[in-house]
Amino acid sequence: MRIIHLFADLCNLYGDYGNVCALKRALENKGQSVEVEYQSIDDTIDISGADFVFIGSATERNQKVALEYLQDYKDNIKAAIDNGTVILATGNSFEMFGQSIIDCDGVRYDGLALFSYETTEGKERIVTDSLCGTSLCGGDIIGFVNKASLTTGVTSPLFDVKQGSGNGKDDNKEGVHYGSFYGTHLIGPVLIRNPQLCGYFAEMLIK
Amino acid sequence: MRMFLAILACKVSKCLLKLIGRGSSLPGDIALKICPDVLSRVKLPEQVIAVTGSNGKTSTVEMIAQVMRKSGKRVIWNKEGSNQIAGVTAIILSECTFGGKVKGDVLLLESDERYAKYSFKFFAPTHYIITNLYRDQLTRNGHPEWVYESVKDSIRPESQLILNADDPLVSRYGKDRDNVVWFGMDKQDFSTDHATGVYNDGAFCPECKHRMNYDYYHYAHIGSYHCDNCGHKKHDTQYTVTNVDYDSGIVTINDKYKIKLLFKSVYNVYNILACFAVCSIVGIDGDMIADELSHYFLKNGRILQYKLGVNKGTFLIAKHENSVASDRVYDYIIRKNQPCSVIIIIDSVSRRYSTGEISWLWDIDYGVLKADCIQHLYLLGRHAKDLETRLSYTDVDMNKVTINEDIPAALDEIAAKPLGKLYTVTCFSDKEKFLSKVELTPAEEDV
Repeated sequence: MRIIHLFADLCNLYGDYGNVCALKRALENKGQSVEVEYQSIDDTIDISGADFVFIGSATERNQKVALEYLQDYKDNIKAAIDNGTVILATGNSFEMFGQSIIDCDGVRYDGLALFSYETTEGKERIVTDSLCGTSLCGGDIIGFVNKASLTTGVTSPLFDVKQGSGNGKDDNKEGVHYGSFYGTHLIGPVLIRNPQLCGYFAEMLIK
Repeated sequence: MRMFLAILACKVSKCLLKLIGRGSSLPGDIALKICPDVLSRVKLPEQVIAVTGSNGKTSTVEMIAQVMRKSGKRVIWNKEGSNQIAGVTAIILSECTFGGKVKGDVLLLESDERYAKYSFKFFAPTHYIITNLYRDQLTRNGHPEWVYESVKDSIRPESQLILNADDPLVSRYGKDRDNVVWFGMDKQDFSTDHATGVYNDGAFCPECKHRMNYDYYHYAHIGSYHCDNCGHKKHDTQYTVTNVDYDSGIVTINDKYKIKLLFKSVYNVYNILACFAVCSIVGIDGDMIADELSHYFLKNGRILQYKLGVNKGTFLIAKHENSVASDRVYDYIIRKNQPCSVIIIIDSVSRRYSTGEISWLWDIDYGVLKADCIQHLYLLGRHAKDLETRLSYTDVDMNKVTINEDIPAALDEIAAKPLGKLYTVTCFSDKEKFLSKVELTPAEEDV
């Protein structure tokens, strides 16, 4: 199994790397040998052939740095997703894969435009414990949101919000799920806190 | 007239609250209702010193107050930690004549890094110390760059900034500004050429976001750095820790002033340095500052000695949700290198809000607890299992780990067992749950 952790030194604001630790252990417990590779600024980004790619939360500025850097590798990422590489993006990192991000001063940044949604940042943060329902695995998902953005235009969300905050304002849908791409505004070690979700990814990767 | 009424209301309500045994920032709230700009109307002392930053505010302010009082100045300070605008207003007005003159030589304020901008709209500190910006209470603070913007809005052009040159984020405040005094630490034996810890917030230049180069790190992202792209680098310092000798427990400032460390931790060294800098700037003799700091035990309850049953221990505060504070505390314990057991209590994440957010456990470098000198680890409180899971992803031998969510029961067990030296690490929010079960013993010299 080949896991790639993208921007581990740039987008890792809330202990998000714990997700890679959790998945690696879950796979190893199922008898897989797992290799974790790191790609970041100054490296060539090439996720083709990877089984799983992870990106974590970032400050608003670091997210823009990662986004600009990824623009050169858009085709590589798109091809990998089409070929079934699973991507999990936590916190604000999934916003990069949409059409655009408008920052709190109104400056527009082109997204990687792989999906249709758009994000607008504000001057206030949305901070809350979250409880979400999902059909991916048994039981509810617990987590925490710490963001300064609203995402709209999501046609295929990841979770149903039971308590906490959704993608947009007064929105009871959270995250995005397009094929093998999974994004959630839940920050930090989501797969540690929700072993059943970790198990879902592990089983999917083994199949 | 409104100023007079605001001062009167503040003093009266403060007295009433005192009678019923309560202190709070309510008198400040009342005064602000009556006269919203009362802080810009009163006549403040000639020196207004403010301290902000993620860590070290309370201790630094306490040291400054001590040194300044000893030098004969009358100091007014918010020692109860009411560091938001209502608290600041209450302190100032209760020390005011009815004509609006604040009775003191120095107004000394610990300022909340997010709320300072509201107080300093009405008056400007003459000296403004900014200690550091770390990942701290991210559930309320967002992240360090978010707090950076907040603190930036609190900086007035007329204030003299006293900045930690070793923090690349803090030192941005000194850019294109003349009235800045810099403090920092030279390379020491314990400095490293690589980042330690599980994350590195110094990896990218906060100015231009290119990769940052470090000559050395003292800890976290604190050290000597330079960006080859934009030139942002550690500034030359006027107040410098030139040597730290943990064996003899002596810190040397500017190659001249020797201060005995009553607590041998690098963050204590920075607090001492910041205090030394501002006290020197206002004209207090360096030898006098050094002498006072060499004998003054902090009274803010962040380091305490205790007895728990047959065992003697040291209680150390490390704020929950603050990985740098925790990392420094564990570094302190391990550097002692004496056989010990460590009790870690994580029950209520915060005393201000209720949350189950535990992401910050993953920012703490718990792997260091594998050190041989740590014989047992007791993980106590509601989040004991979360912490156990976190430790299971390190090289710590899980055979030496005991978990118990029931704090009193666990402490009774520990009290009955001869374990030798104990350390307890927890936060204010859980402090009493521990201290109510132990006997405090007098402060000791740190040997």
